[in-house]
Amino acid sequence: MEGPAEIVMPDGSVILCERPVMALCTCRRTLRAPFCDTSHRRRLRGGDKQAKTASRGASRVPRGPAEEAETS
Amino acid sequence: MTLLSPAVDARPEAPEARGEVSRKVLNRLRGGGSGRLPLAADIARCAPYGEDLQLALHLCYELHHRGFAGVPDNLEWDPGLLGVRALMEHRFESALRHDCRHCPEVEEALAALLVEPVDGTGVSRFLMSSGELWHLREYVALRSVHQLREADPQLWVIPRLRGRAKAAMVAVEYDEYGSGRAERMHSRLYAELMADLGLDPSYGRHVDMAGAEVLAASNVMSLFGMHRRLRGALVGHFAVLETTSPPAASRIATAMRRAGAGPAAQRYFEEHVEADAVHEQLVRREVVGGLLEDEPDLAPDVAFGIAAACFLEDRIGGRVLDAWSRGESALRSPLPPPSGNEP
Ligand code: FES
Ligand SMILES: [Fe+2]
Ligand SMILES: [Fe+2]
Repeated sequence: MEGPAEIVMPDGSVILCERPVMALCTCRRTLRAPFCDTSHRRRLRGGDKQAKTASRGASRVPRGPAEEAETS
Repeated sequence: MTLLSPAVDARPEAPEARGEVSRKVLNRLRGGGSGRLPLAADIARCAPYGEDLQLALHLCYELHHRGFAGVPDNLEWDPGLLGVRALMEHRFESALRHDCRHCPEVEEALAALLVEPVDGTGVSRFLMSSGELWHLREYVALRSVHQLREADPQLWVIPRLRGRAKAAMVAVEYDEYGSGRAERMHSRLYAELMADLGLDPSYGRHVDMAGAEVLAASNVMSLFGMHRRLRGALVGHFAVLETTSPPAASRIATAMRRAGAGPAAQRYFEEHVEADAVHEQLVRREVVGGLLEDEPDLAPDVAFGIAAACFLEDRIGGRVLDAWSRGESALRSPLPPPSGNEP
């Protein structure tokens, strides 16, 4: 949704978000309520390696995929 | 809040050569355009991801970003250097295309990035579980090669986009640049994070310490950003940065807190958890979605950009974790001891 906006929390407190576009958490798993922190993402054990390696499209993957790039 | 000295905005000193090709490029820069250029045969002998070629490319690209102290600004358009850059870019891009030749299609690749492995092994996981202050300082120093100009190479793509993709790309970049507030600009937050860790936040200061893997990951953004032909690859690459950033940033924020880093150090990564959760949505749906609606033929380039980003980032992770697992520094030369951040 579009900001800036004031968000009224369940306890009545108000949080001001000055970001021009923001993402409110709708999955209730975020650790940074009321905002989405990507905790909604699917988690996988082991099996994801294939999918991830595939997404890398590279035969040479050093030690299993690194999960991060630069911050952006 | 940390005060940044004026030196932060000065043009950086040129880094040291790492071989024949980068030495010749440097001589050309120092000679104001009169030095002998590397020959095609010199460039053909270079490893495409090697120290010499990647540093030489960095030198050429920096002329379009900040330039170097003592190097005339008009060398940005020196035909000789542009010719050399084209040969090096060809070598770099060809190697990347070869290494990413089996990349999956856009949707599959992005979906894979949205899955969080429970048992992953990346640098941010290492930092969260066992990162000491010296690991964090090395990591931040390496990343400073790009993060002190965060968002700049991506800005070049904007005039080459249209409609939804353009509007959303501008929205994301506006946020990267602090939404109109200089003190919130992400590159500025990064400089403050560096000062918090006792690192010199001057632009370009840590390039000599960064290996070819770090330079390649930074160079690829300039490569994709400066060629209209590669706009699809830039967008795919950017989608990887925005998608993988929030979980990694959150792990590093935890590591910073645990290591007792200052407030600016935590702030940078915490800001990126929240900001990039938004950016990811915008980039995937609007920028990638909008571009492919507008120009469906670019899908293979978007997929290539995604694969290239992952490939090059994995190489950084490999080199850094290899060094750290041996208890060694991941830098080419040691960091100076922490300096106080009071002037
Ligand atoms: S929607 Fe809840 S964390 Fe993203
Ligand atoms: Fe971002
Ligand atoms: Fe950012």
